[in-house]
Amino acid sequence: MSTPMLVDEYWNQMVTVALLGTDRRDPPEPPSGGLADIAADDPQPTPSQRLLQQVAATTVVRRAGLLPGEPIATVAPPADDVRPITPAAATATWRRIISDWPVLEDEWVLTVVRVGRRLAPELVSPLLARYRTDATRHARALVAAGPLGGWMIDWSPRLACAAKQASNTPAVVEMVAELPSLAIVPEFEPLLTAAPAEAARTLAAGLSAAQFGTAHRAVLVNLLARIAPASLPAVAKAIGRVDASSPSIGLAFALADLAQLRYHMLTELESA
Amino acid sequence: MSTVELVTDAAVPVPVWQVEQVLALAPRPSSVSAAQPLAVPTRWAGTGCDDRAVWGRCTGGSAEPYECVVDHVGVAFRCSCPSRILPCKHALALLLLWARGQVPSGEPPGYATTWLAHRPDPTATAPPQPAPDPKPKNTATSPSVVPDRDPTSTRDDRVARMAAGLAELDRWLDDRLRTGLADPVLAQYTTWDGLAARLIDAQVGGLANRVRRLAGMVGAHPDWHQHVLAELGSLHLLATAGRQLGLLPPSLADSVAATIGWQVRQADVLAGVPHTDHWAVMGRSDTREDRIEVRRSWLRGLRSGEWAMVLSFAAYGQSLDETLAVGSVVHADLFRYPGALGLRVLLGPRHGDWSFEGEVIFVNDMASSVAAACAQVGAAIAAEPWIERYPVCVRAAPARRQNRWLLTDSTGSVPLVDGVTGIAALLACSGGQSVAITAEWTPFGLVPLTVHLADRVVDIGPTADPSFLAASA
Repeated sequence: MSTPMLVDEYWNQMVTVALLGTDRRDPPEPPSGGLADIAADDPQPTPSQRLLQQVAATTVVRRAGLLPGEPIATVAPPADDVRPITPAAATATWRRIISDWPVLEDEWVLTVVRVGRRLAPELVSPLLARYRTDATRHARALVAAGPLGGWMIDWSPRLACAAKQASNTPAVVEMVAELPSLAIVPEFEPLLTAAPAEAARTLAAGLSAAQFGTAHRAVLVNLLARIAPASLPAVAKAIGRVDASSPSIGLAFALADLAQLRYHMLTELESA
Repeated sequence: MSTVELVTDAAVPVPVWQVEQVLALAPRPSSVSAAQPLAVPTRWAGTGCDDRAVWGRCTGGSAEPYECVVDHVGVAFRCSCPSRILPCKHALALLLLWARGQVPSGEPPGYATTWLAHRPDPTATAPPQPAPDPKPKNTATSPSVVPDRDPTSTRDDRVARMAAGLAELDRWLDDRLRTGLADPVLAQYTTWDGLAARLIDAQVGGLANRVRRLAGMVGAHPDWHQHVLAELGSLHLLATAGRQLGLLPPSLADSVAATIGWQVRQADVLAGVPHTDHWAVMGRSDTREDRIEVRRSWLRGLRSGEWAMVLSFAAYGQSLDETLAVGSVVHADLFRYPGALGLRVLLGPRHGDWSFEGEVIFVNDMASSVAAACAQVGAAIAAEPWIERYPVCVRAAPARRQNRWLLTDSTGSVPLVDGVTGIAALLACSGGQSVAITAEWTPFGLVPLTVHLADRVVDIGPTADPSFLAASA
């Protein structure tokens, strides 16, 4: 007695016939059982219609009869990292930073490391992928990710650094812990360390008087990204009160948003 | 603006189509492109709608505005523009406005009433019918969508068009298996697009969408012929069942009718008995289907354990529904569309929201083994053999075999869809360990949607292309 044909074997035979076409090859006979019963109950007049009927029935049988494969060995986990992960809300903050104010991303990553945390797992591959072509930032992200970062790269090599300068060169290693400097004009430099009230007053007055326009935007953004964190609440509040009739009102709103986000980012990570 | 299927406590006064239904009527892709710029209120005057029709005047290139009327019950169009193609871009644009809730209820103007008066009245009283067979319905509260033996000619006409379309589909399928899947004609987009257009004309837009998706599979990967053949089989099953609806059990007939494109009015769905529960938003997936982005939000009742799917649609420049955040729980009434599985729902009145308090409280009881999940999928397919997606929640670990990722536990393993987004996040969030995962079963494998961790829920499902959508609020 011949071995009953398995459904999978029958399916593969039908796939071959379907590729060639029933004009060239007849469809296989169904294996005994339900599929043969369907063919007998509702005989089809042509080979193509017979094949179509059996394809439909076999598709249902294979899908409805979904069986799991054999259990397989899981992958070895990454080494332990005792650092707590960033809070769930920080993931949303990082996404907002990337979307709206990428000037803050370096400080965000460095703050994670400085406060003794590590990246939440859902951020590891996005950060590594984002910094693939920047050796310093990629190295910084790996520090923040901990062993999970290297482990992810082992399983997904596309997350590895693709920059020409390797991430373990002395120059890169030295820069990893440094917050990158930003271009700030000399007249604004005193505001970096000024008292919060003075910084807030100066910026708000400049915006109200339309002394700062869109041409100053980039520099002002850099200033707020590096100003002493203690100044941020006062600056945000003062800028947010700029007169609505000022031509710089749009810039004021944007800068207030930046100041608020940076302050939120820092306190969220430092206080969690 | 998205076609959010939410209702307030007030009854919806007029049954409104969804954007997907409108776009499915387009005779060709260029019709949609031409309609989009017209689908703004500023291009229209005197728009209105009632239980039978939608009307309005569209400012076009000529001095006089075009008068456009759509019979949304009998599915017919009339426009004074010179186009010979129906529905024209003005009719599509008017319907898009209506679907978005931008057409007020009102009394039809003269040009609309004149045209409607010459059309068969779909609400006319039928002659006495013999007593119906006392067949029990599977769900007494679900409205049947099976086209009854209604003597009104409009409904019969539509049923006849659908039957003719299904017969043509079967002949086309037969030709494909006769000439073979290696036939170069299958690699031509016009082969598929022509069939899809004819299916739309036959009012079976659901099958047209499946045909268009099938076109994209040809040559896509080494095993494409297996997947294409299986889908051809599913199409044949639907075409055959669609022509024998009266012989099927009611719930199965409802499923077939809905799948092939028989439209169900929202008002009819909302007239059913609500299913009230605390519904956990377990996962979300966005997919592009032809010219619209479709979002599936998968909900699971905390008390009933039942699954439900809320659909949201967005054409180019629109936004998807963002109100069902993965990880949240909504205490709400759901109204199920008719069908054997009854997965698709409309979200009714909400009674309160809160966020997940962590995996342990809810998901522990919901996550099954791999083997149990396969059994759940198998049972769902046995109920509706043509489904293309089904949700599962499993506790499993990612594993790798022969360059493919799978989910595995002590009961077995099941493959993930090759190359799907979310695998990296799944790997990172799990660290290679067993975690609770919500996923979508598809014929090609599982699509991971959500990782449920102890202190957070991580949404890793496929997301829509942001450049296609409008910026969300």
